[in-house]
Amino acid sequence: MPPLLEARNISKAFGRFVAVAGVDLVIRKGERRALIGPNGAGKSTLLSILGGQQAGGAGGQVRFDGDDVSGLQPEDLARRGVGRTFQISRTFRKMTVAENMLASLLPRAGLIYSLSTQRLNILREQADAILTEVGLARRSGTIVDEISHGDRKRLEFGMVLATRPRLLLLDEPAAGMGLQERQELMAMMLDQVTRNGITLIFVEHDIDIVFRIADVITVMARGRVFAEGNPQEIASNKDVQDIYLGSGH
Amino acid sequence: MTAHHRHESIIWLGAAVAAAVVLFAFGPGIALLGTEIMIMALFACSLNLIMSYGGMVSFGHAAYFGLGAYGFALAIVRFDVPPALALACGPILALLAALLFGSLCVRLSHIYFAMLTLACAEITYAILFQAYDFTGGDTGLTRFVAPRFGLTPQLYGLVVLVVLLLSLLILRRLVASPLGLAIRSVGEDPYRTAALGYNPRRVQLAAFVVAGGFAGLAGMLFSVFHGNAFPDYAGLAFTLDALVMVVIGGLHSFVGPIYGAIIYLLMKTFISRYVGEWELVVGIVLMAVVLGAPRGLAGLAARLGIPSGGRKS
Amino acid sequence: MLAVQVVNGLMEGMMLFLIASGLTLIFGVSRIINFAHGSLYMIGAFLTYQLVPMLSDGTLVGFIGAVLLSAIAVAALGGIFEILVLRRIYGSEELMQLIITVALVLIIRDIVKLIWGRNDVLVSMPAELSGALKVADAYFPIFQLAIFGAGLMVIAVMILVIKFTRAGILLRAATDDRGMVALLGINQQTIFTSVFVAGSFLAGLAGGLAAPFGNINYMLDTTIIVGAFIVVVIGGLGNLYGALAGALAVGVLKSMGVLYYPRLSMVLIFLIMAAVLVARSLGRAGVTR
Ligand SMILES: Nc1ncnc2c1ncn2[C@@H]1O[C@H](COP(=O)(O)OP(=O)(O)O)[C@@H](O)[C@H]1O
Ligand SMILES: [Mg+2]
Repeated sequence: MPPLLEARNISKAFGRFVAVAGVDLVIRKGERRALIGPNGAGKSTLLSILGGQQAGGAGGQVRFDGDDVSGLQPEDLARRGVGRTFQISRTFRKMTVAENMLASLLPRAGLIYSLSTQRLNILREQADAILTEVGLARRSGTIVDEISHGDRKRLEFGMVLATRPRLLLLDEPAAGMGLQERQELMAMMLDQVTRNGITLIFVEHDIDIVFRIADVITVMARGRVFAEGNPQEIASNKDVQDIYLGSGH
Repeated sequence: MTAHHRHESIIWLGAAVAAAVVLFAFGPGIALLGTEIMIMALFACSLNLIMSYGGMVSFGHAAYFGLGAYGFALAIVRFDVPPALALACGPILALLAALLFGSLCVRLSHIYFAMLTLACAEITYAILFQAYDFTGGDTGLTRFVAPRFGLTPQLYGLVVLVVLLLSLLILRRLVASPLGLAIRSVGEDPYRTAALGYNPRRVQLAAFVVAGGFAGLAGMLFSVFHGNAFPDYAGLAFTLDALVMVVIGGLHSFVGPIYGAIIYLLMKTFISRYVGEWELVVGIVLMAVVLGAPRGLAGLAARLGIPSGGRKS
Repeated sequence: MLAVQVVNGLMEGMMLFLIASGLTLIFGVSRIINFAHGSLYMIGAFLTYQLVPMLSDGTLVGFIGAVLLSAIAVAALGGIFEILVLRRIYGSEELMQLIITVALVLIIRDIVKLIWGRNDVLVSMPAELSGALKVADAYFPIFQLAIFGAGLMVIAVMILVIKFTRAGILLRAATDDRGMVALLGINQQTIFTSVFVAGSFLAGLAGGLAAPFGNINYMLDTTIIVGAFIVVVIGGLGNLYGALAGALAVGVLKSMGVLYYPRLSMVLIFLIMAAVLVARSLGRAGVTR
């Protein structure tokens, strides 16, 4: 079976600074891939290239499900089934939680340009169902600006879920939370990923979580892939311990 | 939800009846003023759609107001279109121009978007101003129809009131529709919507074209009102008028621009009777609003329990 | 004829640069689009009109003195506005910042009407600068050459300040990266105020210098600000050298346009502005975070 994602020689420079320098990434269907590395390693930039946020501005070739998708706009990739969350969550902060969900359901339902309020009301059930899944049912009427950081992470995850992604890119989904909340959140996300048969690439600094969840771990440093392997291989890799674990994380 | 709807409908009905009473009760002078307020309110509401909902600040919205006026006037003067049909030519011309200019403008964001809308409007103005043979240049087009088609101020005011109410009804439905939600989402964070599968520029364009069309409708009503068309209708001053109305009335509110138009034109009419420098007062009020009540009059009204038709649904 | 037109254009371009430089400077550092920049220019012109007869009418010394005093007064006005009003809204929506400068436009325009009335006023040309220089068969007005020279001097001073003084280094740091300045431990507020004062000074200076050149009236503000927007957009917002190139190009184009296509010149300039913006949109960058 061909890989779901095959990225070759990916590179991206900001001015003269090279943030990603010739990265290869091959992801099987159903795989859970962790992307780790010190701050500034280029992990977020790599996700942006895969998600289309750097459309046209990056070098290399990306194939998704057999098709060449290099340089496509984010909306095209989203429609093909690449969903992502951002390191700093991006939600619609002045709208209610429920409206955020509804807005996320519009593209799949083909209703972006619809004027039918009735159709919108039909989507409300789906929105409520997803909110329940991600544990936000009770927040549905609240303006996003007023919910907690953790709830915003849940919401953003639910919004991406609403687009029915086949490949999910999560950028530090559990960062900035207490231990317990972090574990609950990861358990919820993992459950959804499993049940919906979603392939996962995630960036995470919490090594315990990474080792527990990932099938394969890619270690990045200074824009390059520094090591790649299953958790045991990575755990026993002396260089990784030096470079990554030794850098204060 | 339905009780809320009924409540809102009653308020709208009450406001409409009150407006009609004002038109007929206080003589032609007030009827004329009321009509101008309603036309400018429609213009400001169209700008509000892209500003408060679509997150786009335009420095060139008057282009579509002006083209609404000229579409109507030119259809009669240059193409001998029957007046009844010419009425439609105004908004249609504005709509087409908004489609053309908008498809360029929505590629940019923030201040660059604003600057390109300004450039488009100034190009429009310059063409209207300089194409003497066709548009009449700076002397404009006059005496092609009787002002208000000869209707009494009261009767024309009633016509404008009906058009305004229908337009608000359409805009209200639009805002509550899936497209309205899409416009708000793109207005808040275009990158997020793109990552969800929207083409944000196309959604912005949809909002821009609708706003342009309603601005054109207002411009056409204005042209009928005065029985003329001047390049100034597409000028920066008209755009700034509408911007000021939206802000004074209250950003992020559906009815704010209506409050804004009322206050602005009342100030213009009554203060200027006593002091010539009424804009000084407008400037001070504007500063006070930005510093003290950034949600404008609608925000103040909401605190007193008057529904502002805000964005929560 | 052509040469005269080019010189005319360069001189107008230099005026445009003086106006636009302040606007772009303020934007580069504070991200404020100052709609009232044209109004400050207008005040500079009216103050010069007021001061010239008080100092020494029709002489070069009187004129220069009046222009400098006007520019200083306008700079002070800008400083007061920044401290009393602008400071409160740096954190708020872009639109609110814009609207507050629009409010200032309305206020200044009416105050100008109150003080100087609605009719055009004229500032007499200093005797030393009237007349024309004859080169070959063409006459070049001395006043315009002098304005061009004054513009060059302002540019030289600006470059010296930006390249070699501590203030200039801070300014560059602030334009490139506002977080940087905070890291350096410098009060960002002080920088914003200084830059606004400097920008206002340039607006006042431009208004004063241009005063003898044309009619001065209360409607100057919008004409001037729209011209400045064009230049700043063509040169790239916040880019001083871009503004210089943009200003000279627009100035020359305008005067050539007047020569060859008088009815198209206005449209032409805005078309160029639109083209620059559209071209820039084609190379837009993405987001990472
Ligand atoms: N938009 C940008 N402009 C300039 N530099 C950037 C931009 N985005 C990221 N960088 C730089 O690229 C490098 C990699 O950033 P990033 O991908 O966010 O790293 P990571 O996610 O691994 O911490 C960093 O040094 C960062 O400063
Ligand atoms: Mg990162």
